[in-house]
Amino acid sequence: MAAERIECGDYLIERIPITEEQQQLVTEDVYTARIEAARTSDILRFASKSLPKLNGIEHVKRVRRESTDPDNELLVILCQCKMIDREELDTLLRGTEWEESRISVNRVPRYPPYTRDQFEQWKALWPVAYRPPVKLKKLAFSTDEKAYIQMCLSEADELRRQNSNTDNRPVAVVIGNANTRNIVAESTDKTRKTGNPLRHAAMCCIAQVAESEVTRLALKEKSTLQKDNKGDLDGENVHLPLKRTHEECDSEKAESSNDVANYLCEGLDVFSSKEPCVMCTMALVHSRIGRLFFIDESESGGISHYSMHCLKALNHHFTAFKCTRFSTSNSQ
Amino acid sequence: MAEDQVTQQLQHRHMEEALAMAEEAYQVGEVPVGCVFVFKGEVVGRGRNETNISKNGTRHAELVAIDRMLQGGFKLEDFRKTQLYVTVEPCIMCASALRQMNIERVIYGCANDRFGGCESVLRVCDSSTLDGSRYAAEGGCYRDQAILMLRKFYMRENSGAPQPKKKANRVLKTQDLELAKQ
Repeated sequence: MAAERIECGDYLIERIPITEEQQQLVTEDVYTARIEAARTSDILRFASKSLPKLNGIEHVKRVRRESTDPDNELLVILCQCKMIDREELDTLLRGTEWEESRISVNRVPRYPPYTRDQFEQWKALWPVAYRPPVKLKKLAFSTDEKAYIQMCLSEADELRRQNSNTDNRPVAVVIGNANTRNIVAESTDKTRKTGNPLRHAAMCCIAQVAESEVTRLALKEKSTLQKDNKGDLDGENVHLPLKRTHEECDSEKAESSNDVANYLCEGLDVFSSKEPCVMCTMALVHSRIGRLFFIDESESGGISHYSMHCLKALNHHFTAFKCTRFSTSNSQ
Repeated sequence: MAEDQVTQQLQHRHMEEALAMAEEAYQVGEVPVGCVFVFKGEVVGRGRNETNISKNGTRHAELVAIDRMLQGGFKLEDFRKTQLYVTVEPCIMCASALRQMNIERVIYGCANDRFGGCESVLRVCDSSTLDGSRYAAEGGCYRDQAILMLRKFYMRENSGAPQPKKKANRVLKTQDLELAKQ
């Protein structure tokens, strides 16, 4: 399948397909009977009464018309081969009007098609139903969004470059808010600096977002307390200070400008100079991020190794993009 | 046989300490998961979940304990001879972190069906191609006690979640657990 790409300033951005999109054709065997078209409803009634029900292949159409067939005959699926063997099927058919119908084994697609390409390809084997998933939107960024993505990516790239002279591993991460188009956290790898092998850039950024949320909540609580106290004051204390304290200014600023998601990193964008490791990728899942953009791929990374952005077993998924620099001249 | 029993008794003692950490988490409204790190038979680190208080979804018991141990001067190379006792199977994030710390072995209570990184969702602990070193992980030690604590916790409403669910109709199920002392 052709990957979706979009140019964004210095970078070529490519959405990483989810597992279903990459699914190759897998088939499953079914027993079919060749019958006259007029008898279709009769044989289906018989199958639903006397044969094992179809299970897990609801996307497969029950009937296939042979376009080249002059006798107007159809192939009708009786049941899945995994449910009963041929002898059992013959026993079930014995003595019925279907005993003489030509039974054969046919292959049908095991999974429902997710993309249109899969649909076009798989239906050649056996007719299948296709419902294009809502999630499969075409990749598109507005001009403003492109500028924001370009800004965050270059910032991560630049931070990494600055850090490549130090002892730390040259990785940098920036967390951005797509609504305000602001950078809300940024960090380089700090494993050497702190002597802690887990202080990867992504972990440090998540911690920063958390810290600012804790601060914001604390200031909010304080200012509510102060407001409540003022309400209780009488006579002598009504003179409010002309100048507000720093905390009050800060808290107001925080309330007005801090649009950071209030539940962990929900909906935020993560821009990383390198694909996050398994620990960091899972940390992003736990933090409920919206999108991940990374520049350099890593074989042992959470996306390349496990496709963790779209693991069905997990409770949160995000869109992942690989970003390639157009000019290699200023990268190290 | 006698030696096995001694080992088992020691394991139980360590897991009891991990359960005590989980209980502490429960008391302050954190997801009740606790752990201890054991080096040369001694507990050298303790941790419990701190995700709610810190607003940081990565402050799991294991990572909290590792941070404290390093701050307290525990040597990086000694992790190679350190075992982790944790009440719940480490999640994928922690399972990877433990590889990167080169932990020797992990003993856990119950499986973690939603996030587990040792058996349940992915097998990070013994994959041959990831960062860090592989380690053996074994579950089942005080499993039912660990499950009971989680069930008690999930009876409550999580006021930190974006849309707290009403749980007035929940009933705490315990019949399937064997809670007599192991």
